[in-house]
Amino acid sequence: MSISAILDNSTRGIQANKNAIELTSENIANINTPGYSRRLATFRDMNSHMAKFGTISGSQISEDLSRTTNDFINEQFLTQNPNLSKYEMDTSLFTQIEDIFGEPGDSGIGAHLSEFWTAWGDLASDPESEPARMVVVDKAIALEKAFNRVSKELTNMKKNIATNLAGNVEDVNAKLHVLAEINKEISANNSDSLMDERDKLVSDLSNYFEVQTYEGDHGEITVAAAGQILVSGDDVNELEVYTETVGSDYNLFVRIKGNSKDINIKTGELGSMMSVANDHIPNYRVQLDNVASNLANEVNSIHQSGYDLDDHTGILFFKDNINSAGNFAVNSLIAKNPYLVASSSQPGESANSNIARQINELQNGNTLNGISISDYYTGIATDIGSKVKKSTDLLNSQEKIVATIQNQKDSESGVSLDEELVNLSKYQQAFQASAKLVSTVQDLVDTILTLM
Amino acid sequence: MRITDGMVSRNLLTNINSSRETMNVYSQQQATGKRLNKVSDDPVDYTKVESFRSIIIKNDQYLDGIGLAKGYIDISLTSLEQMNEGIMSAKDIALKASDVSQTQKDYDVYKDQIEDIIEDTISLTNSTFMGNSIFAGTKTDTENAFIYNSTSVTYTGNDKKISRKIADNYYVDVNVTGRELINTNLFSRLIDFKEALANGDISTISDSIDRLDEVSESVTKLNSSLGSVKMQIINTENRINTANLNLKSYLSNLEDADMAEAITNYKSEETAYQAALHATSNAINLNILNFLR
Repeated sequence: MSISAILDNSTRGIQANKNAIELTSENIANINTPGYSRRLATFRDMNSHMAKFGTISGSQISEDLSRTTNDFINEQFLTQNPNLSKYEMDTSLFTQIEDIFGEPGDSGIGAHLSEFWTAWGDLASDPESEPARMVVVDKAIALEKAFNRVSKELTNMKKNIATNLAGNVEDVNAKLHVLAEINKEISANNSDSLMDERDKLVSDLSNYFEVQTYEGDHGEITVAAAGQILVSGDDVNELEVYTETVGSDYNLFVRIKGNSKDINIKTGELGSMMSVANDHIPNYRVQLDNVASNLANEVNSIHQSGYDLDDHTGILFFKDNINSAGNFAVNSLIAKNPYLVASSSQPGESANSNIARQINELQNGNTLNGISISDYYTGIATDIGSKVKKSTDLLNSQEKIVATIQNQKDSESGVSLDEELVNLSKYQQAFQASAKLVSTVQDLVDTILTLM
Repeated sequence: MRITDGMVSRNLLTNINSSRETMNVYSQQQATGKRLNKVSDDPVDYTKVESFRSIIIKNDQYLDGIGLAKGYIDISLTSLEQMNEGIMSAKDIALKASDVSQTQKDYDVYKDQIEDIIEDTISLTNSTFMGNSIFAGTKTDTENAFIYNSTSVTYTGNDKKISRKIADNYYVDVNVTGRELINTNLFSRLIDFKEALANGDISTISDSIDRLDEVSESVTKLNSSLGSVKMQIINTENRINTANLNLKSYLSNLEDADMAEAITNYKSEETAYQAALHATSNAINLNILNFLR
């Protein structure tokens, strides 16, 4: 064992601990970087494998700067996170629908409907009155506006979802391309930060839908969604949104560009957007259209048989052939001339209010699927409210699940400042000790030199 | 478990946020006074609230209708009473006229008085409520449904009852038709009496006493049956008012925030919030750096 060997060992010690300190600085600098996995310095004995009997020295060097991750937790995160983002999106979209309907409130259809019935009731108690007729027409026009507004806002909302969906798909495509780039790089140069970047992109993708990944030998990954491959090596299958016309409406789907078959996405933001746009909004629209058309037809058929104060008869109160909330409207003749509102069931009987009363009683009549128009409408509003509540509840519990997983993930890969600072002192002391060794060797050499 | 700084701050932020959310719910309850601001606040109670509210609105409407029906009946009752007074004074005249000492000259004076009574009665039968003739059946837009031409009375209204709904499945007729008035022989007896006076027809004059009594009885009968309709209406009105009071208190239970509870909950959540803030400020300052030198 020569003195220079001691010098060698201390140099390696200085080098190793300096590297470890550099690693610590990297960890500390990235403490708040999302997706960063802390690096761990591992030391091992350089000479052990070639140690000979009688040698006493060993030296250390840090070589394995290992990235700390846990595949099991990562996989759990990738399954649970799409549900979290689905519930988040569900809550936000259903809340939007709830706000569009605006129940209970003065501007909702419910309030206008009830004022409409009341106006007919007032006319029934005072059938000779002209002001009561004007009120009936005013309330009917307010109801018309409410129906038209909700219908239009539902259409706009669906349009917005379509735009957002297209934007999200663009975003997904950009991420897929970056992943393909990383795949190319990573096979050539397997670096920790590339892997972090790769995992971060995959977890970002899991906000949009559930992704499956398969890691290759060199760290390159294959990304798939619902059984269809999106990234393989440096090949990317870009996604696109396509719309399928259904009657006067349309459905939104996502598919691989050029493929005719859509990808069956159920979870994540994309899953939520598609299910709300394709199932829930049309469903509420159909129900709302039922309310509007049933109301118009029932009122019209009664009103048509009635007589106004000047014995006009056969006049429709609402427009003919109303089949949706969008085209719900008061007959323009009546809107211009409220005196045409019929209250009497017989000509020449100004105090006869049978027609007004029958229309007023429609509110209790089971004319729509066996229940009254108002109850049917309340049913729609209740359903929307329940959906908001249900998705909020699911969101709350899913947030806890994902937070637990994230905590587990952090526990494994997150940076702890305390730990890093303790390590820092540890490495610093080892560094100082190694440096001290150098000066000791210097002394040794000096001692020997004075002998000469 | 290894606890990292990221975990600590995530957990602290989650707690602070959840306290904030709860506080927001209670402060909204305090600000609006309502527990149910959106359907999703409680979808089940919302359905109940809507059904209570629709009953209350309907009841309020019945009350409005009842007000109008009462007005209609009151005018009819007053007119009928005044007609009856006219008949009673005609009967007084008949009593005086049947005295044997009376001469044709006296009869002529009485005849003029009866003529006045007839004209008063006609104008009473043409009474209106809010511009509508009340004794014209359902042809309430008929002006002067009764026309008197000194020998006979013509009626141009119809014989239909005006039906008004005062509660669920509860309808009442609020008018006395012109035909019903004519059937009391009100006009014919007065005209007969007037002609008897003009002709000095003693036997008809003395018969008129009993005949006018009969007329008065019939008018009173009309009056009292309308009066009993009014009683029904008033009973219904009281019932609906009570029902509405109860319904409104149910509705308030479901819909309104319990202020004491909302404030207490808010306060206790505020304490939790402050505690979370305190814990946060402690935890994020806690670091080994403070102890290394």
